Amino acid sequence: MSEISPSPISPSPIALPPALSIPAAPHAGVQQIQNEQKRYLAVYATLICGTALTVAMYYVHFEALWQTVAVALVIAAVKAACVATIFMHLWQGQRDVYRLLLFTGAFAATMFALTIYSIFSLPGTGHYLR
Amino acid sequence: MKIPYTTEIREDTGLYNAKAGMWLFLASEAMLFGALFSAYVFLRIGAWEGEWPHGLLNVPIGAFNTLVLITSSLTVAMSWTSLKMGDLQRYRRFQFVTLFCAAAFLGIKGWEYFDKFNHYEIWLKEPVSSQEYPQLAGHFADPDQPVASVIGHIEGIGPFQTLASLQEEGESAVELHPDAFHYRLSARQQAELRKAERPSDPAVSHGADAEHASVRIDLSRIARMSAFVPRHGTFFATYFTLTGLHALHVLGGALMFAFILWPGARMWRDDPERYTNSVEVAGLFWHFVDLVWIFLFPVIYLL
Amino acid sequence: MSSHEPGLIRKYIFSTDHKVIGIQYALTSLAFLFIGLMLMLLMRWQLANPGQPVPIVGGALEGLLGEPAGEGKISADLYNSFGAMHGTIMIFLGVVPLVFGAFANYLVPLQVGAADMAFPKLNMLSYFLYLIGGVIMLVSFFVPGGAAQAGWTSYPPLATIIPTDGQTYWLVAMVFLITSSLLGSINIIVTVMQLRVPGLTWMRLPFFVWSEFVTAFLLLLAFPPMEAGAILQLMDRLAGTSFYMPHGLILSGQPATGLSGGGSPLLWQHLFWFLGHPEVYVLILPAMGIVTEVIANNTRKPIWGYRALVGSALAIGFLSMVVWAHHMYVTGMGTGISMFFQTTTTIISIPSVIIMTCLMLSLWGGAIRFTVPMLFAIAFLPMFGIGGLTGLPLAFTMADVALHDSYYIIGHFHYVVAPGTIFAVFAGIYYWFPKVTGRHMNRGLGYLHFWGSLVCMNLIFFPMLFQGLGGMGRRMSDGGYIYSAAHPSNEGVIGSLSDAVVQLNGVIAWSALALAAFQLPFIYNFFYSAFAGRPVENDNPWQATTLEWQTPTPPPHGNFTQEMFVYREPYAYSLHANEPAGRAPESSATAGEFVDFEAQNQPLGAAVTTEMPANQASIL
Repeated sequence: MSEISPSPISPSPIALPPALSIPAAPHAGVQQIQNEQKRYLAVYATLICGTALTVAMYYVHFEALWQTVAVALVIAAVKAACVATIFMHLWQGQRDVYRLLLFTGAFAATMFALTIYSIFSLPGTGHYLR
Repeated sequence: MKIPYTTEIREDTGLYNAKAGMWLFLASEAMLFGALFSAYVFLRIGAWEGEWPHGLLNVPIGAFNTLVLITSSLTVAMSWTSLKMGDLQRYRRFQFVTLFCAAAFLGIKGWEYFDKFNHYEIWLKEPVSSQEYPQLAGHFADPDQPVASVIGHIEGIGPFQTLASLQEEGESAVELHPDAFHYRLSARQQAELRKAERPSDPAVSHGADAEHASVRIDLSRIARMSAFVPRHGTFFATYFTLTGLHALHVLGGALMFAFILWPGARMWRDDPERYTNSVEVAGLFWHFVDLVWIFLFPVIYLL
Repeated sequence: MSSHEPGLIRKYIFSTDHKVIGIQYALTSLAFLFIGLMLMLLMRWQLANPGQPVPIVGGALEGLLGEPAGEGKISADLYNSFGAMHGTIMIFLGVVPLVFGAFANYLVPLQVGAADMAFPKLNMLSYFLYLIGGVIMLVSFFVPGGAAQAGWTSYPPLATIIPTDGQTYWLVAMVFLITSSLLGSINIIVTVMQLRVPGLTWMRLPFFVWSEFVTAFLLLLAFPPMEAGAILQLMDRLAGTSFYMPHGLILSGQPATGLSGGGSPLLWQHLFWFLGHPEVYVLILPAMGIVTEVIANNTRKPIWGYRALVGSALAIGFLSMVVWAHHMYVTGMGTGISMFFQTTTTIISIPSVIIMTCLMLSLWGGAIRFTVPMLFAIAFLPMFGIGGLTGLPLAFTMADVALHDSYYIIGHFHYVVAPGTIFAVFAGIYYWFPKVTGRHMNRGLGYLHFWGSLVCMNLIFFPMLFQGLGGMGRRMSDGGYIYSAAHPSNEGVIGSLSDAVVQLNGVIAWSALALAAFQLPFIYNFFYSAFAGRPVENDNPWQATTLEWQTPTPPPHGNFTQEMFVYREPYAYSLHANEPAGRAPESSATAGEFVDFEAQNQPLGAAVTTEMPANQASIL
């Protein structure tokens, strides 16, 4: 990052020119890949357990609707997190993707919250949450 | 002319082009489904009291479909690692399973849809009481309270009929088989009824007692009837729209895998690194579709 | 670079070259702008002379559109169609593809030093999806019932129950356009992220690239909710669902039948405006980017507050996602949520003002060259200023309730997009024309085009503000005549529209005609100069710093003939004006030539000379 500066010679923190081509990532080691596969199987087991839990919850029934909703969504969120981090390789530290997902999540959450919020000012609605 | 970073990873972003592009696409897909979920919650909270139906969907089948999709996600991930190890045959075997799962998912979904099309809700001009129709016992949360509409499958008239179309065909009455679903009731009321009645799994359609009981309803008594199609009400409208759009994504993902597996396989010889990447990128999409279903299933089927 | 030359069709029609696609986008969207202009002329005629047959083209109109244009008159239904399609065509088929499809496609890869877009084939697909969407939109004029009639916002239940297939075509076309801009925005973002040449750090990007980058994010994230909304409306129209149809709907005095009800019209408005508001910034941010480039080049000094510009563009990007419901104050959605949106709306004016302030201050102390693009860029500032300031009252619920759905709103947003964005587009066309074609546009015709357009634009849109304050509604097909004091049934009615307010329609109509006439020199200039204009004297006729000028003219397939490295910030103009000449040996300029700029790819310490140029006038 350089400043816009009126100095005769613009400061350049970057050594120029950097290497043009970055060598392709070498094939990961066999051991690494086997670990990866173990992780996949673990996620698979978790997902199946999660599904079983969700369905079981349907037959158990909680006192209030919001409890059912909360439990169902928490289970779904855990499952989703497993898929996103392991299956979609998010744990591998992809900073720009995190940023993108952060923005997207923030925008989606705003859209969701404000849209839903607007309905409570309408008469005769919202009995589910009362 | 060569575009850089098609295969190799750019250092400052940690991504190759296709992966960056796919994540951006997924961000926009997240907004698409986020908006549809918002619409669902908006409509549901805005629904009139008692208007939102419960228990109309087949939970065991939905749960089974969830497992099918999860399995396909696993095979996609495993196929990618197979390619990473240079094992094309193993990758192919895993992808066959993926495609099979995709087909199974769509087939089951199609069957579910077709089953819905054959079920009807009939709104009567005068409410009926449980004294008059003991066969409809499952419909009454409170036996003293009459109900304005009844639900079940009607044999011999096929899907998509309406009152007008039946009258056109010269029918005078319909034979309604009230299914063992306790459609009218909230999930909690269903559970209580189930405990009281019998221990067997009530969510399996066409339960034993339902087959015997049927109600003959004169067309002249019917105010409106609709199959379980999108126009039935906002519940089925959201159900069909959301699951239909999701099914389209499954189809798209499957076509993508099939393309990579057969016509695209030449790339494995020319540029195995890039071929592996294409499987990873298509896999990202597939996992996302799986992820959407992880939320769709409880939200639509269970809540 | 590919060794073999592709065939003509591959080269000019199914091309994957971002420059060809950019030109395709430009020509197509300019054609759509022209169609939108023609619709506007017809509407203005109808408003000034309600119920009179359209002169000259009336017969052709009847021949084309049949009964709705019977006897060459514009019926109320047809007026509604024209209104809806004018908005749709101008926004979704004209301006957005122009500023985002054409300019970004052509310039972003050049300005970041890339050989092409990151995904050239998707780029081609994006253009053709846009073309298909546009064709579907145009075809909808000729389907039974005519084109969409429910405004460019397509509010249900009206949009759903309206008995024309045009609305369905509209929705399908929108799905194509949304997919097209989705592919385009992914392409732009990945190109900027991945294909920047070495040394081109984020803070060395030209502001135009930043503006297109933020715009791409807006399109990427804001369009899908509207796509969801369009899918739901399509379901309402085709499958008979009731997503937007409430209980107890009464149509023409009869309860609606065959509907389950249970939906909410408010839902569509949320989904639509979640796109609709960011769309406003999609229209304006690239315009600001273009203006920045032109101003920096023609004031011969670095842009004032580059970091503030970038920060403001990002802030606009974020904030534009949380202001959408200020379009919905009159829907009765409650005071709590209106309060929230009122607050965010006033906050978003801050970054906009920062950008305008930076651009204004950039003029100060500059050696301004009043070239044609610079005139358009300078005019952009007050015009957008009027557009922005007239928007302030609309941000507040209380004022908005009175002004909403009046001509005041029409005046306000047209100031933003017509003399605002479209002036910036003209600035961009005049500015980059020499690079694209290798020829200059004619300067005299350019001045004629500019001054004519400036005067006419203001004569069209300023009276609208008065009309709105005078109480004229925005969707009346008779120009408010039925509510005017001149109408026989309103004799003695207090509060009817005054004659002056209604008669302004005449002023506007003639100005609109004059505006259209002043576009003729531009159209002639555009095509004549492309083939027979004065050839450029070198590859960098404006003496600009950014990378697109450091290529051969016009840029070949693959763009750059040598490896590019970037050594400096984008607007290194006149940095050495007070220094002795010949500071370093290697200069890109020939000896004795006046050079007051350093290109981004010029190695550090290159020479500058301060002799006044003999050929300075020739670059104007």
